[in-house]
Amino acid sequence: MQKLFDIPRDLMTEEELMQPGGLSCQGCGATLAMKLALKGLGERTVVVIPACCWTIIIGTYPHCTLQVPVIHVPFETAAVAASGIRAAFDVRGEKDVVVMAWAGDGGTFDIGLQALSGAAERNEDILYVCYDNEAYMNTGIQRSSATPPGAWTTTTPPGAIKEEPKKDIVKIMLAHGTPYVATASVAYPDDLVAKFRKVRRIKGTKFIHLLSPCPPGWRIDSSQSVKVARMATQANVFPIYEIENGGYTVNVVPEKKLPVKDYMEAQGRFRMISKEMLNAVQDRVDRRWEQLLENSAAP
Amino acid sequence: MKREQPFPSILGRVCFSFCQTACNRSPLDECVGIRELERFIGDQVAPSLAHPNLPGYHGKSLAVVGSGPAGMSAAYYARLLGFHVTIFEALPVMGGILRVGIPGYRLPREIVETEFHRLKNMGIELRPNTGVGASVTIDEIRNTYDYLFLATGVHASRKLGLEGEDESHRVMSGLAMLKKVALGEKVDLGQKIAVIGGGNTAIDAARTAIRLGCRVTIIYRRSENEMPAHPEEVREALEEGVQLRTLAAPERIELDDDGTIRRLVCCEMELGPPDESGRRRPIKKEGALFDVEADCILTGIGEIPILHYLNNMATIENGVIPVDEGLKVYTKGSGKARIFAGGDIIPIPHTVVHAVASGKKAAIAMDCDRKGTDYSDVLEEIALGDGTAISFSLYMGWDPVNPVTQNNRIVVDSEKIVYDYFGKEPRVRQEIQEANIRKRSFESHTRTFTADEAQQEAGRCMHCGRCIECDNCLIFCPDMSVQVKGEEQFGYAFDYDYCKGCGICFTECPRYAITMVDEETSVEGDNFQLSTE
Repeated sequence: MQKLFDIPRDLMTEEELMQPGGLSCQGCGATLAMKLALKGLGERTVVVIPACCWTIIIGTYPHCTLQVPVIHVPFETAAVAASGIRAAFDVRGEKDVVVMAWAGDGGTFDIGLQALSGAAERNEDILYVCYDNEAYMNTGIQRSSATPPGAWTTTTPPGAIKEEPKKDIVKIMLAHGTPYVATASVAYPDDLVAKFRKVRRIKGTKFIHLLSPCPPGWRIDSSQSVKVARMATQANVFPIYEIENGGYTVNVVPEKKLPVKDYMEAQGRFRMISKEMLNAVQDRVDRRWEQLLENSAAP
Repeated sequence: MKREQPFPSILGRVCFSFCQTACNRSPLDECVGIRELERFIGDQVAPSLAHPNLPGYHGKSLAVVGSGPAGMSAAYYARLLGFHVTIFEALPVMGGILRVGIPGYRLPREIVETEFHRLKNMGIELRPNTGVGASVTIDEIRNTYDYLFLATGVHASRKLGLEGEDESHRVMSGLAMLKKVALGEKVDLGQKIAVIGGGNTAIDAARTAIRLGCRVTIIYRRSENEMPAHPEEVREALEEGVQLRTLAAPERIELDDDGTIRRLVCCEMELGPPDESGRRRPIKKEGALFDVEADCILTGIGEIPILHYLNNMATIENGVIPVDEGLKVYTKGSGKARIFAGGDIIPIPHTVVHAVASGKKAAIAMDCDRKGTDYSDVLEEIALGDGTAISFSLYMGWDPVNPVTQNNRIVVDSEKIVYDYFGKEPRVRQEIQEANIRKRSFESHTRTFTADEAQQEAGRCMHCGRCIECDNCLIFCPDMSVQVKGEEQFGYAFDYDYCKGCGICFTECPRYAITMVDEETSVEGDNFQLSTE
C-alpha cells in the first residue's frame, strides 16, 4: 500500500482526543491543527486556551470537543497561566503531563507577548503553540502584527492595506534562548505530529509556530485551506524548520519552488497588493530562505 | 483483464497505445508503459488454460467473415454470450492482417496462433481456406446462420495514379509484398527499394525490405511530423538504415520494355495551410524534379476494402459500409441472418485496437438483438468515460475487477490529479536489440518485461480515480468525519452528521477517488460520495 505521509494508521484510527461537532468554520486549519497536535501529544496533556478562535471552536459549556483537561484564561495570560499549572503538577509530582498553551496569533504576537516573554525568560517547562491564522479572525478579521504585508483585513481595507512586514516571532523566541523553537504546518501532517511527539521529551520552554489557514479570513474556498498552506511552504513564505538548542534543521525542502505571486493569487485577501510590494515581499522571502539554508548548513 | 481486452499478448505488441497518450503521469515524468504491461500479463497466461467464464449455448449461431482482429474479437465475445461461432477465412492461415500484414518482428506468428488455439478451445469453429464469395457465397451463409459479422478488412491498396504503375511487376503494393513474405512466397524486389507513403504499411514494408537485404528509401510528401506512422516505428526504421526523403512525391515512372524501372522521377513539395485532416497540405514545387534510384517501388498510401463479395446486399458509401450505433449493417434483399460489420470496413480509424473494440461492440449488440433489448438503452449502462469505450463486465453484471469512481462516465484528467503527492520515477523500458542485429531477423526484437520489471513499472501507476487507502482524507478531515471502514471492508465511510462539507478531503485526494456532489442537486441527499463502495 502506498503511503504519502509517514503517520501510522493506528494513530489515526485510535480513540480521538478531539471529538467531532466543534463550532469551527468549514475547512478550519486551527481545528485540523489541534487534532494532529493531540495525536502527537497523547492524553497526558492539559490545554490552556486564552481568547482566540479555539475559545469558540471547543463548544459552549457543558459541551467540550476535547477529551483532555482544558482551562480558559484571559487573552494576555496563556503563558503565565500555563506556567502556574506546570508548577502545580510539579508539586504533585506528575512530571509527565505536558502543559500546552494554545493561542492564536493575536494572543501571541500582540496581546500575550509580555507573558510569553516572561515565561520564556524563566525557561518554564511548558509548550507554547501559536496557531497562526494571520489576523484576529474570531472577532471578524482585524489586522494583527502577524498579518502579512499586502493582506486585506477589515482594519486594513482597500486603500490602506497592511504594508509592514510580519513580526518574526521565531527570532523573538530565539532571543530568549528558548531550547526548542519550530514551525509546522497543517499541510505537512507527518512533520507536525512528529514535532508534537518530540516536545514531550524536551525540558524547558518549547515554542511551535503553526500555520493554520482561515478560509473566511484568507478569502479562500474551504476546500483549499490545506492546499494554500502547502503553497505557503512551497513558496518559502512559511518554511518548515526547527531550532533545537541553537541548531537549525530545515524539515521540508520544497521539490518545486513557487513564486510568492502564485501563493498570493490563490487567496482573495492579497487582491489589492501592488506590484512593488509583491516584489519587496518576494525579495524578503528569498533573503530569509537563503539565511535559513545558511543557518542550517552551519555546524 | 481478458474480460475487457481479449488479446493482451497481441495488443501489448502492436497497439498504438492511445491509453498511454492520455496517461495522467505524462505531465509529471512519462506515461506508464501500459502496453508493455499488457504484453507481460498476456504472456503469463498458459495457452491451454480454459476460459473461466464459458457459458453453455443458447442455440443461435454466428458466422464471422474474416479472421482479423475485429473478427477474432467478435467471435470471442459472442462465444462468451452463448453463440455458436464459426470464423470464415479466405487465406490458409488465420489472423488476417495480424498474420499477413504485420511483420513477424512486431508480432511473432506463434502469438497469433496461440490466440486461435484458445478460440478453438472455447468451442469456436475455424474455417481457413474458405473465402466468402469464392468457396461459399454470401447468400449461403446468410441463410444458414442467425447472425453474420463482416470483418474482411482492407486488402486493396490505393493506386499512385501514375502512368506505368500497373505495367511493371516491380511496382507493387507494400501490403501485397508483406503478405507474400508472411506466407513464405518468393518476392522479386531487386536491390534498391523506394517506398511511397508515410503510414504504417509503408514503414512495415520498408523494414521488411531491409530484413530481406535491400536498401530502402521512404518517399513521403509531407514532413516527418505529419507522418501517420507511429513515431517509435519511424525511429526504429531509421535506426535500421531506412532512408527517409520527406517533402517529395513521385511524379512519373519510366519503364524499360521488360517492365523493369528505368527512372523514378519525384517532385519536391512544400507545406501549405492545414487540410481537413488538420495536417498541413503538401503543395508541389513546380519544376523541382529529381530522380530516385529504384529497382522496385512499394506503395503504402492507404488501403481500401474489397466488398464485391457482398453482391450488393449492403449499402456502401465512400468505399466503406455505413453502420448504425450497434454496428448493424443497412442490408438489401432478404435473408435469415441479421448482419453486423466491424474493423476497417466500417468508418472507424484503421487500428488493431479499434477493430477489437468494434468486435466487442457488435457481439453485445447482437446479444441485445437476440434478447430483444434496445442497444441504445444498454449503451447508456455500459459506457465508460466520455469516449466510445464500453464495458463487457458491466454488460454481464460481473463484479468490477477494479472499483472505479461510482460514475463510470467521469474521466479523471490531469487537472484532477494533485501532483504534489507524486514523486518522479523513471519509466521501465523494454529491452530492444541493437539495430544492426535486429535488421537481419524477423524474430521479435523486444523482450517482454520480467516479473520484477513489470512490478516496478506497474508501481508507477497513479491509480487515477481509484482509492488505494492512502489515508489522506482520514488525516486531513478537521471534523473527524472520515472513518476507516474496517478490517474486512476497503475504503472509508463519511459521517454526514458531523461533516461540514469543507471539501478538504476532495481537494487533497491525490487521485480524485472522492467525488463531491452538491447537496441540492444530489438525488440521495448526500453531499459526498466515496468511490470505494
